[in-house]
Amino acid sequence: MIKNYRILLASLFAASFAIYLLTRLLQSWNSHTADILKGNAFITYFTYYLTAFLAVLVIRYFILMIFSYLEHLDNIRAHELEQGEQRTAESENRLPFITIVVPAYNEGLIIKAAIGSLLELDYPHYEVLVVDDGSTDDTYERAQEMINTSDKCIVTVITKKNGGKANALNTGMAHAKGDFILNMDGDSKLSPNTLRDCIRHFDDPKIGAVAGNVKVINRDNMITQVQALEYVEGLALARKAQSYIRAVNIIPGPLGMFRKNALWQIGGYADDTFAEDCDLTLMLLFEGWHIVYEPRAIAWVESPSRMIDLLKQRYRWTRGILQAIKKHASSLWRPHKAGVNGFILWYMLFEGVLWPLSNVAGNVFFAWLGIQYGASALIAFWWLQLSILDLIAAAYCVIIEKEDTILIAYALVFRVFYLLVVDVAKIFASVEELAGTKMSWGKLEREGKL
Amino acid sequence: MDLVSIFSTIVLVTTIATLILALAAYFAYKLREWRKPKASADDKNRTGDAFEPIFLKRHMLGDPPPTTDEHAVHS
Repeated sequence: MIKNYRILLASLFAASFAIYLLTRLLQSWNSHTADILKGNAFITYFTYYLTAFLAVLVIRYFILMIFSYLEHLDNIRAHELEQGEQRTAESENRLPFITIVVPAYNEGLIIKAAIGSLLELDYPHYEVLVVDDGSTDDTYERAQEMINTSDKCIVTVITKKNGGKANALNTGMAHAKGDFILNMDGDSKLSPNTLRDCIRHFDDPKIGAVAGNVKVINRDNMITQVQALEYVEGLALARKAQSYIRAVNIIPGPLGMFRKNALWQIGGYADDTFAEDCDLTLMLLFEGWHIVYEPRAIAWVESPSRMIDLLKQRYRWTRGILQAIKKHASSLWRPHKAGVNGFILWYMLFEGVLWPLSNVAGNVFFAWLGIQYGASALIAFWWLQLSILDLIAAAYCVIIEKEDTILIAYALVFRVFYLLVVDVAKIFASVEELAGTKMSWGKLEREGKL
Repeated sequence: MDLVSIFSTIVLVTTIATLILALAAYFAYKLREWRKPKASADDKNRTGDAFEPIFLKRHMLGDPPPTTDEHAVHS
């Protein structure tokens, strides 16, 4: 409690100081721009572009926060109704059988802990199906040690030659006994209520899949702390808002529950992109299935703790998402036919390409003005506006998600350091994707923090 | 030097340093990827059922799942 008060006071102080700085910088901005803009068309038009970009960002955050709040209220109501219902033997028997598919490639270090956590889930009828994707370590042997360790559910271990994650998930799907399949990563840990909270959405026959809430478990350095904030502010906020219109655009690899019929209908995962989860989600949406988000179903994951691993991950995500968008590119130009899905594709292009490009270009532009014309107040003004926007969004998301309040402070690091580094990698990834440069999957080295 | 000038200078220097760091980090990543051992020709030429992605053709609702004899299953 005392810690929260301190953080609140520090936030108030920071906000007051930011407003003071913003006012002073606005005066500098007006005097500087009047001199600099005189007669320079490039500077004038680029400033207009960046102002428009800033306006789009503000509108985006505003819309996402409103939609996510409405979804949040709906969730609270649904949860209260559920809490009021008594669990009886009959109601428990009515719950459908679920298959949890765990693809694993060289996860020997953590596979036992991952399976062990799955045996503790609060649900009466489910099985755990581990698909060893031709690991070169002892993943298969360690996974086998978990067979017959629980009376609660059956653990099955399949081993096959290496064929990639999409292939492993499809193998799991082919062996699944349940009508509902929960796909996860071998390095994730699920919250005990996951199955129960996800399955309730399938009462609606239009729901094809439920996206889970992914959180960072290894918050032990600045890079992973900022990612923890990013997962809450960047990913969970967007998914919650998209869930309000039942069109979540990426079911995260660490936690997604699917109706088996829906997976069959689209032919399972394709292996022609590096973001098979994004590709599958788009295929489901374009087949007319609705996709929602369940914030209480949590998958704890290890995030990259070194800069180079982070860049590797983001490089793959960016190229994978672009590959998935490319497969549906025709819908970009037929908004009347694609409807909401067409909008989703444009939104993904904005977030994947235009946003990083504009952010880096804005920083380079203002840094140049600072060096060339001595107008360093401009870059400070630009940075402060975006940081205030980040701080507001971070505070909102942290409160809604009941996350650690210290994450709000990382919003400043997020803007000045993290985002710029990641956005530069995203731009290069987009350029290389356009140029068709070869790439490999690039597996993240695990630290065994589960 | 007033407060705004100091603040502006700090932001300017930080941004330039971060941009340089971002470029350096990206090229370090690419260099490491480039120096990593490449897959052998033997790996690339491997074929057979186990290497074929399964279930990637569209299946109509109600179709039985494909057979999976090639996998070892233990439960």
